[in-house]
Amino acid sequence: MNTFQYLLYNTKLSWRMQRNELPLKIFIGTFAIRIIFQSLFFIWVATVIGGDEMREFAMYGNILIPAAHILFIDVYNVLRDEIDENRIDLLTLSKTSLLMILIGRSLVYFVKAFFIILFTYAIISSILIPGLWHWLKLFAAIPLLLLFSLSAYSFGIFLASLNLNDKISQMLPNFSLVFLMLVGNFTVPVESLPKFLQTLSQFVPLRHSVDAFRDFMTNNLPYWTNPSVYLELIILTFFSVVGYSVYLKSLDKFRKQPV
Amino acid sequence: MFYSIFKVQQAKMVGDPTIIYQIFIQPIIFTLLFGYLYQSSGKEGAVLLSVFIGVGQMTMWQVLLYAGGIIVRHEFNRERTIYYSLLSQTDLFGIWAKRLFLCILLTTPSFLIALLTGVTVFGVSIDVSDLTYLVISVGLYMVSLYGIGLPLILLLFLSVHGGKIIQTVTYPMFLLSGMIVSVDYFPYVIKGIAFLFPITWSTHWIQEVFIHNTVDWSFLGYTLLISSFYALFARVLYHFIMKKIRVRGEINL
Repeated sequence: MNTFQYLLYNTKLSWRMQRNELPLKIFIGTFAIRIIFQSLFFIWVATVIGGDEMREFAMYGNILIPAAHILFIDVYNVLRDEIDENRIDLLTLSKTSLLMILIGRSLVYFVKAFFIILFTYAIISSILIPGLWHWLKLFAAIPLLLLFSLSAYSFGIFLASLNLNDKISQMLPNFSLVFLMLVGNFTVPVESLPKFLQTLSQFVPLRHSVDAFRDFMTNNLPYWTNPSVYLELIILTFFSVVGYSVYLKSLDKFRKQPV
Repeated sequence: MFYSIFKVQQAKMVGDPTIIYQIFIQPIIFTLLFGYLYQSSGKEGAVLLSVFIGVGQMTMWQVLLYAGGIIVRHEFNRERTIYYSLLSQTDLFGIWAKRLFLCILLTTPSFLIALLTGVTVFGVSIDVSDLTYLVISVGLYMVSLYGIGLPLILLLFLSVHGGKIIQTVTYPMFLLSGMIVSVDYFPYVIKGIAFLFPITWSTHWIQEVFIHNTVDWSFLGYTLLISSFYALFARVLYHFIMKKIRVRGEINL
């Protein structure tokens, strides 16, 4: 099996793993509905508190939350399981092949994220956005959504690579998600946060792509000219590089001392 | 018996990192999230305080569901089912009720942490009478949480994916109970549904006290009444589930 075949095989495997982990009907019937309900709830709370302006702000942030939620928790779980289970095929691979596998998986996750965003957008926009022309804008924003899902993916890799202690890492994704909701400019405008949280939010993954998405959808600001996109790329690269390096180190540890 | 359940259960809970996170960290982040959200719209004082109470109640609710899941997973295994099959239904329900009561006790620190974070960070002042109402409201909320928790956690027995299903069932319930936004903002039909849950009554009571300065003691009676109905329903449901388990000889129904 050459690297390309291996990549294809692992991409399929990644897709299958996700399907097997939770049957589709259970996934749609439980998790998906719950998090979409959560998005609608946050938008409604924002409307009750701050009127239409706040609603619009919260709406675009909360369209993306379900995808981010599913994506990085999924990536986190899959990678951690692999490291924990000490998969022999991963241990025998070169670093380049491992990187190719991770890239291949990122495409699977992007497809998954895109469908979740479409699903969430369809529900939220049917309730809150009149007309149909905004759909064109959503499709025009696909590269931005790719950036968003890559960012969530790299953050998932980063979290999974922090496999320092099983007990800590079990609660990491939940903690990160709630923390992202606070400082990620999803629902609460970062301007209303204290200075140190505002500074911290500049380094938070996903935050800048959410800003660019909101600017594009509401103010028609082209995202390719938006500096937020390039800032997000830098943050995404940082998390990917650090995550990948630590991930390799974890694998090396298992190579030396197989469980 | 009570002490032995307490000892085992406490060890299970304290050893679980997620529950530690839910009790000690989640209330802080959610208090900040909703506190800043409300503050950015110019809300302050009593409104903020009732939001912090809502966040505290919300985290109590989450801790209870998670802790309930731990009980079902760790305690009601095959060996225990055989042991339990020797006991009467009344004894069994008593054990279940005691276990859940300990979970309710376990949820209280999260309420305190949410309240303390809110009061400290956002500078909300509370006096002695407020404190009295807060204590009553926590007690009332614990009763209603206990009432509704008894049948809800039993849903975990119903399938392999019980954990996922229970979240879907309980999520709308928690959102409708008006912890974060008062049920006064709801349309009439939804408001009617919301008042079917005892937690809505206890939550609404404290919101009325702080936001509208109205102390309606009859709410306490209604909360207790509805909670008892749920507890009775749990008794029937428990009987049904245990009967099924004995017939099938396995937990996942």
